[in-house]
Amino acid sequence: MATACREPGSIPGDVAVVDRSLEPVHGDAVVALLNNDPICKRLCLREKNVILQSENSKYPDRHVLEGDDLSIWGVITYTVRSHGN
Amino acid sequence: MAIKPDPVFALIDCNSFYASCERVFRPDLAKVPIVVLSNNDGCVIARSYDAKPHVKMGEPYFQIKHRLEKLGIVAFSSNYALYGDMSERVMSLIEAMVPAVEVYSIDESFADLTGIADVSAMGRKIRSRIFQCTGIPVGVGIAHTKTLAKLANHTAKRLQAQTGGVVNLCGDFEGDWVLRNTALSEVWGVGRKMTAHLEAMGIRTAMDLAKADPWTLRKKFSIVIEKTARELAGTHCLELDEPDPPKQEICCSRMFGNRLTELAPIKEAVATYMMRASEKLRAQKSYCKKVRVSIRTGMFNPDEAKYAKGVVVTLPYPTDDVRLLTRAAVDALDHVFQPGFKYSKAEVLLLDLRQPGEFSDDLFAVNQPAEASRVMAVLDEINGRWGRGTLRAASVPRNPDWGMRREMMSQSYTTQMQQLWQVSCR
Repeated sequence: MATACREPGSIPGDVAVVDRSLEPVHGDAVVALLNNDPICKRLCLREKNVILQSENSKYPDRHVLEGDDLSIWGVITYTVRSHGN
Repeated sequence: MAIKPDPVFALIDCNSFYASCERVFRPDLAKVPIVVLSNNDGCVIARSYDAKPHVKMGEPYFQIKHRLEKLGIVAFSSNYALYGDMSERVMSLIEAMVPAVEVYSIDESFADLTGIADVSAMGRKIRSRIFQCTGIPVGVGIAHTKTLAKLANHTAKRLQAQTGGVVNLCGDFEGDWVLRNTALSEVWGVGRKMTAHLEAMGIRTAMDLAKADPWTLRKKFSIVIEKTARELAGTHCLELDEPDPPKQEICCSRMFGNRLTELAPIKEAVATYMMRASEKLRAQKSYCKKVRVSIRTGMFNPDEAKYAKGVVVTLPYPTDDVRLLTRAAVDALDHVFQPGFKYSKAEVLLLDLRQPGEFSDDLFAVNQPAEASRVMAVLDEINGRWGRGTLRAASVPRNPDWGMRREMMSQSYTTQMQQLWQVSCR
């Protein structure tokens, strides 16, 4: 399925292609549901910790904490860039 | 010599399909009850599981609007573009996993699991794969006949927690329990009237029907109920993809988005409905000899004057030509329209359908000119390739004023590039 994803480090309006059939692994770009809020991040699994990383240094990493509810909606396989035409 | 394995059928159906589709792209509504409304935001046609205790199927939206707001139940207009696409995804996934599939409706399909070693495991695999790939929850019923598979599926739905949404009736013990504990009215193919007839004969449960004498049933009622009884007893009579007999009548009928008082927009509406009806006619390769056109005012408002009239037009020859059909229907309106009323609905009904080559008792019967058939073929090909309505009669408007009300429609997340799900990366 395709999702419009304003991924930092990319131009706003990029389209992300999301594949729900893939099992998410460390390093994957994903659409995650953090407390039911959808966001595009890179999945970082460090020992028992889950960190949702941004590509853009403007946005801090988001550590997933005890009280948080996290599920992965799908894995981003490609992004398509619009050149404004 | 190899023994042919017993046939095994699965019935896979989506739970609260329209509501589930809406929830896929609204994770914020995972625990919020939702309902989906019919065309024109008229009445409730789908409810999520948690909305069921509060809302009845078919309740008119205007009557329950306040109740929904008070209970925090969210209403959606029906988004068929989304549901159709999600349905295709679900069906493709099933087709990739099993030997053969019959798509029965937008949210149900039968699958042939004959020869598969562990059918319960396959049922669970189907359920989890569909949920993973699409977010749509489904129930799976498995049995040796289609009728029993439907019953199994119904049980899976009723007893979600205990069964995990997958029920296999191929074993005798489970099969007997379900038959004894299922009311007649739940059996596929047994309607209210038939239930009353059967109860009069002392047949009350699915088990009673399975044990009834099939020959008696056939003599008293029809071969259809006989097959149902045999299927309940475990003998399969219905194959995957039983061909549907072509429909005897084709109807296209819609309420207008707002009341119409002039003849001109009503003619546009009827031309549009005829376009749709004639597509269905050509799709089943039938010709039609009679058309019935009817219009009516609202029937429930005591302050509105009521009027309803229809007329039947006989065509010069059996035809599938949308131009001829539209002209006949639109001209007929001159005979039923009366000024001074607020019309709410029109209906186009194609009657006296014939299949090509059917024997006609009229020696001087005229046939549709070959040229017309060729034009229709081209019309359908163009509309098939470029979208319905690309090529249409001049009387069918592109964006009618009387078009459907759909105030709470979700985005077409999967079919329109401009309506994709927007996700941020803050």
